[in-house]
Amino acid sequence: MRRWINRYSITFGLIGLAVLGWNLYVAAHRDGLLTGRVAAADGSAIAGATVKVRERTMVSSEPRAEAKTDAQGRFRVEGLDYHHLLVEVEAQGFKPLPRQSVRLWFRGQNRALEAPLTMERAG
Amino acid sequence: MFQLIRTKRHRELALVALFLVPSLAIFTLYRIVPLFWNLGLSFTEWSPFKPAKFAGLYHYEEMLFYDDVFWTALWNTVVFMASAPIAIALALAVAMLVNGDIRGRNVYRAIVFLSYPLMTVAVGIIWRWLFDGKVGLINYVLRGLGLTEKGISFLDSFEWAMASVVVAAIWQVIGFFMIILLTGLQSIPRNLHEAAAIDGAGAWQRFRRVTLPLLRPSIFLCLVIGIINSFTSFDLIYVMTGGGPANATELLITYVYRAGFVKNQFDYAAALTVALFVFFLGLTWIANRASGGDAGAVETGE
Amino acid sequence: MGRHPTWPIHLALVAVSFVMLVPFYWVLKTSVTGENIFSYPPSVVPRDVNLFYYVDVWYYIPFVRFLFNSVAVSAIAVVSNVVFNALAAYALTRRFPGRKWVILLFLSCMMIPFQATIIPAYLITQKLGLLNTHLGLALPLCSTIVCIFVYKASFEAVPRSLIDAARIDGVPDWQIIFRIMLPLSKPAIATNVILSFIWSWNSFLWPLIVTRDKAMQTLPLGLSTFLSYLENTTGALYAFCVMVLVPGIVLFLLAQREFIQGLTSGATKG
Repeated sequence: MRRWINRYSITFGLIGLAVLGWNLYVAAHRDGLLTGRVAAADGSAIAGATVKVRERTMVSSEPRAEAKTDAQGRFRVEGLDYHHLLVEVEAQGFKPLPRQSVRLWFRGQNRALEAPLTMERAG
Repeated sequence: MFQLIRTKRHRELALVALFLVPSLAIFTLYRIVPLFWNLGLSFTEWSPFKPAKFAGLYHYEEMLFYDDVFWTALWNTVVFMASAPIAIALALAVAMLVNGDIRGRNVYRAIVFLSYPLMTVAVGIIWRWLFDGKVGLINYVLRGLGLTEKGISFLDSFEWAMASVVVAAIWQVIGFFMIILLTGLQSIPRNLHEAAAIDGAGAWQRFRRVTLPLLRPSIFLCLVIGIINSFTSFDLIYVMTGGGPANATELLITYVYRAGFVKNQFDYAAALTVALFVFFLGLTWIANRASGGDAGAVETGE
Repeated sequence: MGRHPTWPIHLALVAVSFVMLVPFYWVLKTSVTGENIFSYPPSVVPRDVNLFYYVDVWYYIPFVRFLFNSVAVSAIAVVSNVVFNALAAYALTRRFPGRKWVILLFLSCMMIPFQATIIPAYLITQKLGLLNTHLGLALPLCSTIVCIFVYKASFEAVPRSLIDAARIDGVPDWQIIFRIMLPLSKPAIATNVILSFIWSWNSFLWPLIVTRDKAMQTLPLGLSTFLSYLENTTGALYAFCVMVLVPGIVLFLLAQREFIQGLTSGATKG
């Protein structure tokens, strides 16, 4: 047993463990969920806003999914198997929110946006 | 009885000879046969799509009398080779520094050596970017020092491209030269230096009269490696400049690749390879003679 | 001899180390920030460290596939070098008719750089149907003359009485190699492993010629193709550089002494 413990086995063993652990973590967190909240500048929820999610590819971006906010301004987009998202929001009476970049650690990582997407009133 | 031993011994030897088969097969397949095939190919008119035709010395005539790029590539190979003494001088300086009895010398040695076994393609990409005209670190430094206003696109400039590639090549190989020279330095008996010092020789005298002559074999070994590198440094050139601008960094080996695998002129590339090989053999022979056979036949690359 | 102060030496060596390490630092820094690509003057200390360029690279290119190809090719090359070279070197330590000629042949083969044979080597590989295969990528590197001579020198140092005793006991030759010679030649094995690993792992020209599909590219080839369709100014390129260099650096740090010994004896034993 002793003779199998050397710097090679320790290094490669640790690398192997790290890879295994990371893959387990990925497998448990890859439902492709994006959740968040859309609010006006004063903090009040915006219902019925359209949240569009695009995938940032190497050279451009592609529209991938859409969702509407509920009465509390919350939205939930599913099935996003991408690692770099661009989120834009449109709502009646508000200035369209410019694209925001959401980078993920792996494709389909579940992500809850902590800070509300804040929109300014048009006009 | 005697007969039995004889046949047994023969069988054994035949078996032992069998051990040579895998290696011999590989060398035959990838060294010997290609050498002659290459020679044959250089005398034919051949392309992947047509049957071969005897062409005599046609390719050689074209190469020697009409192809300027060949001469440029040959000259560049010589220039690349000529950088070896610079690398050796630098490496010798570093080797003498780490040869002393100082703390952490193994760390210094490892740091200097580290660049050598690394993937040359990655090294080339790193240096290509350090030399970049707009975002390269070297130009940042030059601009910071006020030496240049706009930044120099080293690798796109006809004057600088070769020098830049050579710098990268030296950076990569210096650690290896250092180790070789260090081995040489450590084989010099200490008491020789002490005796010379007692005789009143100064540091410079001791270096010239004791160190340098005794280092001769190691220095020649480095030179031979430098010669070999100038014939085999494909990766660095391919990644950093691709032989450009205007063939300023085209080496024989990159030209062979371009003629053969980019332009699909296998026959002409074969003639170029023959020239490369003859030139290589000639130089190694000279180096061998000059070193009195110390450096020997050496191979470091693939 | 008087004691000289050592600080000037340290100063000089620190400067040398600085020059040797700055390129690595710069690449590493850019791969985790990407910032000095866009801004002038660049900051020396990394700001906003993140690993997203690595994520990008991971998905832009089939990194695992490249890694697998590189590992497969290197594994074939290393294993066959260790075995074939040992066999050949053992044969060369025995007397048999024509031994001199074989050694001469090997020595002259050593004068043929592989780069000088690429065109017919390519045609041969094509005829063998090995283009675009792992075996085809590894085959030219599967036995190297330098390594054979490294083994030979080590085998010759094994006491003859040991081998003769084994032979009298009727131990077959291949068992003599694997039971007696190799266990007594650990440094030679290390040299073989290191040299064949470095040559196959870093090999670029041969894969460039032999590989057709992206799926068969090795790491250096993948890196150079990545370079060809990306601007110089992309952090992802440098993240890829780091990912390609890290395995080599880790191995070097683990087996530093063997690396240095192996490469030096590869150059001097020839």
